[in-house]
Amino acid sequence: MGLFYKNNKSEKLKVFYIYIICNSTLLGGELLLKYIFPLRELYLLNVRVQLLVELSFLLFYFIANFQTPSAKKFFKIILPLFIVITTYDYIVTSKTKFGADQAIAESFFMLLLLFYFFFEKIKYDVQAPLYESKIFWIAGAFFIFFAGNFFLLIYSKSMSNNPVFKQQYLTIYNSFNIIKNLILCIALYFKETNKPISTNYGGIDTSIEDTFFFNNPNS
Amino acid sequence: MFFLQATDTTPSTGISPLMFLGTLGMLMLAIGIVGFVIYHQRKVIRYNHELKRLEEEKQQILLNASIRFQEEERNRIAADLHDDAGPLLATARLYLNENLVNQEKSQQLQSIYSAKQIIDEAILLIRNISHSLMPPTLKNFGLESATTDLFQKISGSGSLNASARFHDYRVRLKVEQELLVFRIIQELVNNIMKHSNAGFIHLTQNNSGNKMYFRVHHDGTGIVQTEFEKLNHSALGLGLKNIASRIRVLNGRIFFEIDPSHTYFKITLEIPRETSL
Repeated sequence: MGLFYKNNKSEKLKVFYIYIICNSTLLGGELLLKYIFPLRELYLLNVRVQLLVELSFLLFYFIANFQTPSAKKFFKIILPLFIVITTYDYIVTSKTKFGADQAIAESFFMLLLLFYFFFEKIKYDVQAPLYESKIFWIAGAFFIFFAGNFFLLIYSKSMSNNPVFKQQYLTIYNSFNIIKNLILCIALYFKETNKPISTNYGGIDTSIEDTFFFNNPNS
Repeated sequence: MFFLQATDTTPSTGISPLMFLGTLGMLMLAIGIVGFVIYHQRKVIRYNHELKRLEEEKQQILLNASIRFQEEERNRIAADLHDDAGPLLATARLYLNENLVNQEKSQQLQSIYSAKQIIDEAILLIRNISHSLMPPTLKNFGLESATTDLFQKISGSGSLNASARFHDYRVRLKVEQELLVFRIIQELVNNIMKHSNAGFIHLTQNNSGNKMYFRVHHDGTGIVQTEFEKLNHSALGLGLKNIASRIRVLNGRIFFEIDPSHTYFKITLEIPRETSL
């Protein structure tokens, strides 16, 4: 990550670096609470916090790259909504069981966000090839990761007691995690560029009425 | 989420193939969307490059047209000077030749009078050439007076009814801007007179924000924006290319349209206001 930061110091990417640091710290906490000091309740709480942190940072990172102000406003609503879902899920779910609803909600929101991100890229970013930008690879990595795991998370709610499922869950989840990390590594090779926003090629304001030319309060 | 596996290991039914299909489907969908985004964006970039190339080509055509126009103008001035002013001055010189002193007094006076008349004619001719290059009304009194003068002359000829009305021209544009606008108006009016068979031409001017608008109405046969663009890209329409290149210099825009009632055509010229103050 040091090498990554050395080559890329854009303001927007700083959000992503902070996300990586926070996520790594929380992952360390998860390992500690899972294997060294096995405290299941705290471990699950840590997972919930990790999901919340992950969504918050990714949300702000992608929102910062949006070009439509209304979309920025709209997607900002996701965070309070997600906090409500997390809190509700934490209250209603047993403290010793993982709340899959929160993870499903996170995946859903992220897919929605990334889908819009790609839509905006198609609409506005037409100056240089998209695959030459860092954000495209980051978005692609998370899009594949969340899309791949979406059904898995839905099923994990009802089949968490099945050991075969547990094994397959780990295989699928880890595969997508590796793919995501590999794609994120590809992002390292691209330099962040500030491309101009699309130009309006609209014609002359033809809405000007003829009366504008005939009636003038100044004349 | 890596460690989300449940601790309860009660065996139950096998894994639903629906989950695998769903996961596979979602993965395909994600890859498909990413692939489509790349494909579509590449297509748009290619299209933009093509558009840029066409724009450059258009610029080249405009530049060539402008050079051609300049050459034609020079040729016209050269022809005027050579064919009209040259012979006039040569004739005047003949009247004032060396034999003049040997002639009788009445003949001398006649020759001097004729020479004076010819020189007057030459002066008038040179003045006309000079006026066609830079109308003195425009230089001294501004665009409003020059345009009104032009329209009055057209109207005075009796061929069609022409009028101009400036609603808000209290602050004059820069001299070079005025000349460019005047030339555009002149070209538009010339085209209308030559091709449209119009019964009236009416020009109006007004301001909105930091933009100045000129609108020409006429009831003849006109063109719409698409035709203007088409003519601009073709080898035809030298006058229109000159209009386009002048508008480019002005950083303005022009729009040709037909009124919804289909009774008259409108040409709107929009230019940024850069006052001479």
